[in-house]
Amino acid sequence: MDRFSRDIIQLIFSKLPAKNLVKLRCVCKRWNREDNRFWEIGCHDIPEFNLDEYKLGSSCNGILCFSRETRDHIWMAYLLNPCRKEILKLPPHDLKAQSYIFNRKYGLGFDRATSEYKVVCISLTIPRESGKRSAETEIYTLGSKSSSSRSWRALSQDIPSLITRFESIFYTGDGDGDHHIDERAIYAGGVLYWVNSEKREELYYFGDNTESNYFEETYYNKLFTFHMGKEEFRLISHPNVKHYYYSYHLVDLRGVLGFVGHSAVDLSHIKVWTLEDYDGELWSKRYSIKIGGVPKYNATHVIGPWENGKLLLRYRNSFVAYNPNTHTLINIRIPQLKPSTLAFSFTGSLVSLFCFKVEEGEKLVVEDQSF
Amino acid sequence: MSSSSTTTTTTRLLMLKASDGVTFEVEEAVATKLGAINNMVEEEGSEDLICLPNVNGKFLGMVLEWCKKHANNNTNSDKGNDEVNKWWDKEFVMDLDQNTLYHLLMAADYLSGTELVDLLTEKVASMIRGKKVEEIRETFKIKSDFLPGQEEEIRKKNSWAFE
Repeated sequence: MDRFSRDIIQLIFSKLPAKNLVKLRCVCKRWNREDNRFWEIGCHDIPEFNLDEYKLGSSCNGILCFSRETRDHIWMAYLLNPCRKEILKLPPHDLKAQSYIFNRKYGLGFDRATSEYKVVCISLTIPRESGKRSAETEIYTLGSKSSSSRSWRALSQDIPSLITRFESIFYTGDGDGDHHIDERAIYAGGVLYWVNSEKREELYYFGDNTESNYFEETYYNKLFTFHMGKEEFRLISHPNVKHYYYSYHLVDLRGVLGFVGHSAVDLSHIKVWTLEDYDGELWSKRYSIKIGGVPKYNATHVIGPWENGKLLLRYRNSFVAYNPNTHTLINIRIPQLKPSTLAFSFTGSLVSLFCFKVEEGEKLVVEDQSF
Repeated sequence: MSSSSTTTTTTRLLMLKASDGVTFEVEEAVATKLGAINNMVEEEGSEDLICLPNVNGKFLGMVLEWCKKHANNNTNSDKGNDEVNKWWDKEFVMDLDQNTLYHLLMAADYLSGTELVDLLTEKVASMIRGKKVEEIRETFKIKSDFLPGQEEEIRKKNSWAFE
């Protein structure tokens, strides 16, 4: 093993999770010394973000994408790798003075074909001239070589009609006020997914009946998606599309999208579907989890995969691991967590943000725990 | 190892000569799965005998065996072939001892067999994944060469990984 060339060693190390890599540092001097690209870690604590100020767009391969709107209504996007304590501030957008930016969504994903990270920004704008809502999409590419873009570029696909019809993805549907769960995009297997956070009842109450019925049939049962490789927006039907889910959320199950639904027919179970085929919109039913005894069924969230094929679930401030083989729930003690703290599945990686060439962007190294 | 006996349309045969003089006759389509050989064929064109002074016969044979299996399975562009390849890859790396794994990986790397290198490095990674420092040292027969206290310092600095 110690006879391998540096290239081979790096290839092997790139296949290992962050925790394993850190352990390799202790094996011998050479491995401790090996290329700093893999080794520079000092992750005692993950920097704390004030979520009121910074909004989490999405997370992908151990990198988190945040955005912030300043008091002067200037939007900034940040990438953070907590395992490396690196933060990258992306260059500002071209200021379009003629438009008022109503809201913005950011999402980070990975294009597997080109090995590039892409930050997608969807802006809901109201152009001063027309006063009519429209949407613009911009992309910022981060590649390891010279492929990093110099600035945000506008996406050519004409999506305004799709987005303005689907603008409810912009409303923060925080369900019962416990979690900011619906704000994020979920990245899984090369695609970003957003949920339509608007509830069915609200659709009935607001607007006239025909309009809401139309909306419901066409859009309510859909997810809003962006394919990183094709750079294409789409709507994808929910699993079991005729079925009415009282509430639902999305989760990344190791590269596969999971749809967690609370059925209105059966309140004692939550059902988890996985999207097996993106193009064919093929879902398969994976888990049916009995949550009897939990008073507020729609406050139960699937956080993500847990060890040995289990799933980690959260109800308010408590966590349980679900074992699909035995259908049992085991309490997990995670201390010092406020009910309002966002919890999500995260796989540490040692991808260095500073390998990306970003013009005008700022590179910051987090020295202390908060910033 | 002799060339495949299937009598399809006349495919060009290449002669590959390993460092120990052992020669292999392989179909061009099989050998060009290796980037290095593909380059040589494209650059030199008419050359039918290719000398590979950095690989010995045993490991060249194994690399070519892998290429052949993958070339055969890829002729029909069926989705099931992915499964067949995966299953076959699993068998291929299952019982490799460390010495063979090392030489095979060096050979695959030298011949620019990207897919095979990927498969073999994954095998090595699987031998490290989830293991303790002591176990990794034992697996790869590595002795710690740290001065007293140095290892503890690294552990302390990265305590999160040892929880």
